[in-house]
Amino acid sequence: MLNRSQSNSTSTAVNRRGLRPRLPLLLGIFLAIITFLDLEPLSPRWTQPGGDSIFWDLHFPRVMAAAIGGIALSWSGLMMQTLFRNPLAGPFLIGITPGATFGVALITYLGANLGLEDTGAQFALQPLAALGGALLVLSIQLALHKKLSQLHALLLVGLVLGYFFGAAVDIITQTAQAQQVKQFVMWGMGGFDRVIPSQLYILGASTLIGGGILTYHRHAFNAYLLGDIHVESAGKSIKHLRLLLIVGSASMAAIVTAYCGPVSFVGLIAPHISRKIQKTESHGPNILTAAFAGATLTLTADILANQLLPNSILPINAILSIIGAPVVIFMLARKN
Amino acid sequence: MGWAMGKSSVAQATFNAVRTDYEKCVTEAKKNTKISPKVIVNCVYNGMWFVPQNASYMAQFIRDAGGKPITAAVGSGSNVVSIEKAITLFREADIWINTDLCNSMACLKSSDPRVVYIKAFREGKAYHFNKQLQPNGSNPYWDMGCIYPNRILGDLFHIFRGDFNSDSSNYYDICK
Repeated sequence: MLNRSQSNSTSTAVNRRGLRPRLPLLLGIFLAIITFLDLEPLSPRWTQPGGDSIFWDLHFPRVMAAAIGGIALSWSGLMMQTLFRNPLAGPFLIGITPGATFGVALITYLGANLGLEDTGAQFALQPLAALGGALLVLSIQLALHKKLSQLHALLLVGLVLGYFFGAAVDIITQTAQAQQVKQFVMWGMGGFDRVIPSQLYILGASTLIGGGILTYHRHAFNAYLLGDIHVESAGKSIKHLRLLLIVGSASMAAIVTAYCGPVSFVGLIAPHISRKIQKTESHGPNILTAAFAGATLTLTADILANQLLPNSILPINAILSIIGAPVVIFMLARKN
Repeated sequence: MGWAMGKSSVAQATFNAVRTDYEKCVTEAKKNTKISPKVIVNCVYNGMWFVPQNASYMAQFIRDAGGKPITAAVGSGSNVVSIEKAITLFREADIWINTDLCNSMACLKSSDPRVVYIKAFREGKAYHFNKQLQPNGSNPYWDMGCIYPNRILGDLFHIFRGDFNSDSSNYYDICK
């Protein structure tokens, strides 16, 4: 992704950032406006009887989940695109999302067969099952990353795992009851409404940990983008950096998928929007801008999903795909 | 079907009996307009709720049985609304029916703990239609309900009137 001449332009761009201190401020103001529009703090609904509990228990967690989820997915995408040195990498590509989907399909199916329905345990176990599926893929990737020296082999493993778990989900769906399939399909549509207040802490903590890894190792990740030889000449271990990138990016994507379902396109697009704004591939300036871009995307999609139709909600993934597909095509056409 | 099998008169007699029974129940429900509980249908699916529209068959069932359906819009289908909107609409619901996969209050709460804001949940007035659910997943509520809607109406009538008895009901049972 980066070469030596680009490395110079990277530092220039970082310096240029110093000359443009107002950019984060402008982005922050823009994000605050979007958050304000989604939160609707002035809506008369909250002053009606019971309105305050609706706001704090249902509305506020949804908006916060959208914001935190957008930040986590954008950082996860940024790290995955660095890991594979591929601008089209995302949680779907290394099998995280198919793994999580498999976990949910399995628990929904087993819930009825093991008699968990009476206690509702299958609902409570759903995020854990999604996390388990994602961690299964992650552990396979981690086990293989030491053996596979070629990056494209790791990418192929992710794709193959995606197909494998996709096929397993198809088999489960074929044998499940109609109501189980309905439950599972609704999970797959993704959304922030399902997040309850207590889950925000876990979402926030995993995002902070992932963001911490990204911020602390940003210079090493810049060297990683330049090539393996630059990492080794800087005295770093290439395998250690890969491990950090895999764990950081996959854990953020896994937690978001576990609580919000699969949320497409954000991890793919947000880093690109950020690089476009910052005009550099250096990680330092892109951390904040990617977070702004990710949160803005998910909050905008959340507003549209909830307010586009007066009496219905639209699937968040449908909104993001409608926004995302033209952006990716435009991006590819521009690169060519 | 009766005509195809050469038994159209038997089929017509069966249909007439079902219609008579259904209409008798509707007449009985209309006699006592004082009892008219607000009724909600379906349950939460990952933060989303399928809410019947005002002219849907389910809304009609509820009206015929003497209840007031809480609907989301005009039409004969259903709307998918967010849990936030659903709870806002359903806070004052007296009775909750057709809880789908959930046969217990614990299951309903586990599907989304915020259902505690619904009055019917707090008062334990939630009813499922899985009384005769077979091990293979077949449910007579769906299989036979379209042929004998009078049986569904009979169950709903007793639920809404407050004299529901699970020993004598056809398809419904209370969520324990």
